[in-house]
Amino acid sequence: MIRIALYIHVPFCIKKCLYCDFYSIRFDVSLLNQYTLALIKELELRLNRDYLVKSIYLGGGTPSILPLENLERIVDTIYMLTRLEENLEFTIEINPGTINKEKLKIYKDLGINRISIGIQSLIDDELQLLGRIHSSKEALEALDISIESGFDNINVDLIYGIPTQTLKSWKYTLESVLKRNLTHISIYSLMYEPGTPLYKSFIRREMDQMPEDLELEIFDVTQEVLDRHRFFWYEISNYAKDGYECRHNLTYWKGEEYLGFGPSAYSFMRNTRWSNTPNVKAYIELLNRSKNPKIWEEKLSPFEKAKELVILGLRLKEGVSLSEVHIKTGINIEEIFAENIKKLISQGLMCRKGDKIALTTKGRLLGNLVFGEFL
Amino acid sequence: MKLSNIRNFSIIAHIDHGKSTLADRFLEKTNSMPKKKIAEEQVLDQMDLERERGITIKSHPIRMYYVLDDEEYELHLIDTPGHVDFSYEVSRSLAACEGAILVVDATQGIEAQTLANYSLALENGLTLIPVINKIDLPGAEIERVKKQLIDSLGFLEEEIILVSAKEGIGIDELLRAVTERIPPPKGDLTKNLEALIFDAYFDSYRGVVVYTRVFNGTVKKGMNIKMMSTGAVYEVDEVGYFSFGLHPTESLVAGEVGYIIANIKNVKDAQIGDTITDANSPIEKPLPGFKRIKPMVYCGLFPQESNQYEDLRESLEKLQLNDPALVFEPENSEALGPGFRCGFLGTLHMEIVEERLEREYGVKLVATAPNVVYRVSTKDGNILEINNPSQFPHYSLIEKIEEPYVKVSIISPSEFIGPIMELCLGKRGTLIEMNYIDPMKVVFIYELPLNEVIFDFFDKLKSVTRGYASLDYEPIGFRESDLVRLEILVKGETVDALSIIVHRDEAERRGREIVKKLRTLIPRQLFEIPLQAAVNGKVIARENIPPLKKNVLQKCYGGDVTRKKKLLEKQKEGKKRLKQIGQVEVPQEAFLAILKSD
Ligand SMILES: Nc1nc2c(ncn2[C@@H]2O[C@H](COP(=O)(O)OP(=O)(O)O)[C@@H](O)[C@H]2O)c(=O)[nH]1
Ligand code: SF4
Ligand SMILES: [Mg+2]
Repeated sequence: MIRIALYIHVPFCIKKCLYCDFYSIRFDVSLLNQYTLALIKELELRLNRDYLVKSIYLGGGTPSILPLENLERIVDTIYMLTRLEENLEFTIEINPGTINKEKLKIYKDLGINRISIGIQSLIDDELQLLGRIHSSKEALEALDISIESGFDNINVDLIYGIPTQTLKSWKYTLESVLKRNLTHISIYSLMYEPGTPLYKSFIRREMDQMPEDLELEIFDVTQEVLDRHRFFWYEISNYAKDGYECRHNLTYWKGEEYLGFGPSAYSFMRNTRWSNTPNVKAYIELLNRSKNPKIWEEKLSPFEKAKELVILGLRLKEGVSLSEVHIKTGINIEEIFAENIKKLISQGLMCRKGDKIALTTKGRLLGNLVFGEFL
Repeated sequence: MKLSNIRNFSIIAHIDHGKSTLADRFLEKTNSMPKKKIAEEQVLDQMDLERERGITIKSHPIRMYYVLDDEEYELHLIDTPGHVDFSYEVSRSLAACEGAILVVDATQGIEAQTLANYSLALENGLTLIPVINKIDLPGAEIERVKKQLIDSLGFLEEEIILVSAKEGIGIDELLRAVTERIPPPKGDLTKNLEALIFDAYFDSYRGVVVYTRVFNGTVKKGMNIKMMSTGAVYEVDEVGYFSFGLHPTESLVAGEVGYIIANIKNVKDAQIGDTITDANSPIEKPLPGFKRIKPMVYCGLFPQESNQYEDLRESLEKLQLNDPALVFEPENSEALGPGFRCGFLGTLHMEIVEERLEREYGVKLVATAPNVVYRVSTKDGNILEINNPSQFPHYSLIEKIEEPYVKVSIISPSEFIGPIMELCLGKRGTLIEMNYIDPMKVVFIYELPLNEVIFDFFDKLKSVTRGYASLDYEPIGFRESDLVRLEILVKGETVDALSIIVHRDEAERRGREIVKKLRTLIPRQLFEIPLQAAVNGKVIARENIPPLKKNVLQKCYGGDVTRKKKLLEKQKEGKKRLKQIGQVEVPQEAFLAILKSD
């Protein structure tokens, strides 16, 4: 029996946000149907009852735009084909403006037990600047009806570093969501990804990045507010109430095995990572002919695997146990990177806790300098 | 071949007047052009760098056979570079010749390197054939250029040959003039061997390939030859001539130009300017060889990876064989570690050497900003010649500083007299003479500090004269100047590789500029980095690089891992190109930041 996390990618959005560099496309009903059929085909081809699924994650894109019948068929297929762990974590990402009570009720009936809401901000100007499709009112509504529908494990995504954002507006957004009954919060600083419209207007000097001092101040305030609400950071960008850390995402950071389905989804199994074609049309085409939609793979050597375990594990507050890495891969990181470890500790970016290494508070903001030492 | 049917000649001219194109026509006329190269232009410029930049960097010898009036002639042509920085290449080629074709562009007339190369040819006692080229162009001013050649260089009207190298006009007449006017080499092939090395390169399989002009005697395979300066003896492996690659022959005889391969692995045994003789019956006295030339500019070259030091040394030695104007000596920089202080004939020469080292020898370099040689008199009566600003004595010990001056000739249309005078004044120049070549064209003679000339002077001159002026210069010795050493401190420590010598009046402006530029070039690090410029221990400018506070990949989920690893690897790759100076990591561009003067 192979214990896995299972990821389903839904590459559709109503409209592309201005900062987004994810692969997502416009859709119509017919494309959604073809996609659904192809996805079911892929599930049938790849899943079986040797797998024990510990978590399911419907991510995107915007999974909440899937018509309910489509979603039901997908979920039923998964349930039919594999075994589920008793306390399965089953997350769906939803976006305000694409959700209602009826959908949420069905989600619950389907066994979905965790909701992740892309709220980003509760200030209309800021949402507009990001090119989000929803207002702040709709965002709060999405959160409120999720709670009303009986979900008791809810995540909210927020963004800071938006050019027009102030310390006050950020505090308003943060505290407004914290007033509700959440268990998890993901906080990202706005990235100017090359190729996005946001990046272009930044290059054309139509807008300025948030001054670094303010960004750092927001970061500090955030820690303080979250602390007060008993949310604890456990990964670079993620905070949770005790016991509500996202089990699905922990799979990635701990270097454990997962299977991904849908266009551009990645899988990792037996030290091999591979991905599906990101092209939706090609994906549908291949599965119509019962062909494998895989377009790329890499096999990790024990050394590569060991380094990856360190880089990913260091994202976690608890850090990574070097003796565990040694046992899993046969590679002695301690020895090979002795100089680097010493340097990072002396720079105050990393610390040791027993046989674990972990980021310091300073290191949390300078993670790349730490990760870079283990390449 | 009978001596009387051999002709050795060069083509000399100002840059772009058409030397290499004319050489193309000669090759075609004499059926020396290989088939697959027929479509190429300037075929003798075979080095990648030459083709990319469209200039000749090395002299290119080539042998051609030509039949005229039932007589077969063996012609040795050497195409030469036109840029000032490569005049040493030209002068060595001339030592292998009896004559030269002096090419002048019909639309430009006489320019600075026309004059310089003309004098060089006369000093070498060569017979000159004046040629006006590009007569096909609508802007050709044949009569005017003729008059310049007659009035300024003393040619006779009937000597001048009109040519279009591009259209192939006048080539027959010119080839006839080569056979009729240029004297055949003198020499005696029964005498003991006497051959001059005028160029060389290193072949990793066969050792040094020596370019030689045989003055007396014969050299052939199996013979033992002796290098007169080191006394080393080698057995000749192969001799031959040049024609798109090496063409082995039985022998090379007095009067001929060709190559010798003798499994010479020690490059020091094949010094350019040395004389080769027969080891069994040597001659007594070597040929005069070449005047030692002194570099005009120096810079430090350091391997990016310190374990490449030995590679760099070997590469420099091999390159020097092919480029004897290059000099180098070990230098140990506190900031950059072990490397070499290298001397060049100019900044173009420097650029070309750097590029050749990276391309042909695969060594990655960190180069410091170039500087001239200074003469420093100390209070205790010593006089030091210093080619490295970091070696300057402490300011309290200095009595006076002198810097090299050059005599600069500038030729320009007379409408630009005003802007040129203004430019030279701003560069601390003194006007010595101004003469008219003809009513529309003037020659200025200025004395200027070399330091002002080698950096952006030429670009500025081109821009104030819309590209019409040309420039040549020669050293005239040292003059006292009010110079100071500008030091750059990074996080409180003087970085030797960043200090420069400047005129006192310029120090503050340059200091401010440099620290400002460094601020943008040095990436933020974990701590604050103060940058300071100081003169004689006094800080005259400062900037601060704030510490890096945030650099972390926010999101990293399933599929991202690979992409994120790539990003991290790219960051790391970028870091590799940084040099560690004290605690601070400094990118290579920073060492050139001090170059720019505006
Ligand atoms: N129209 C015309 N152009 C020429 C002639 N000779 C050379 N050129 C052009 O002038 C430029 C410089 O020629 P090149 O042979 O490289 O000059 P070099 O620097 O003296 O070797 C090239 O673009 C040639 O094509 C000519 O007779 N007529
Ligand atoms: S909703 Fe999410 S995935 Fe879709 S465009 Fe916006 S940011 Fe991108
Ligand atoms: Mg040329």
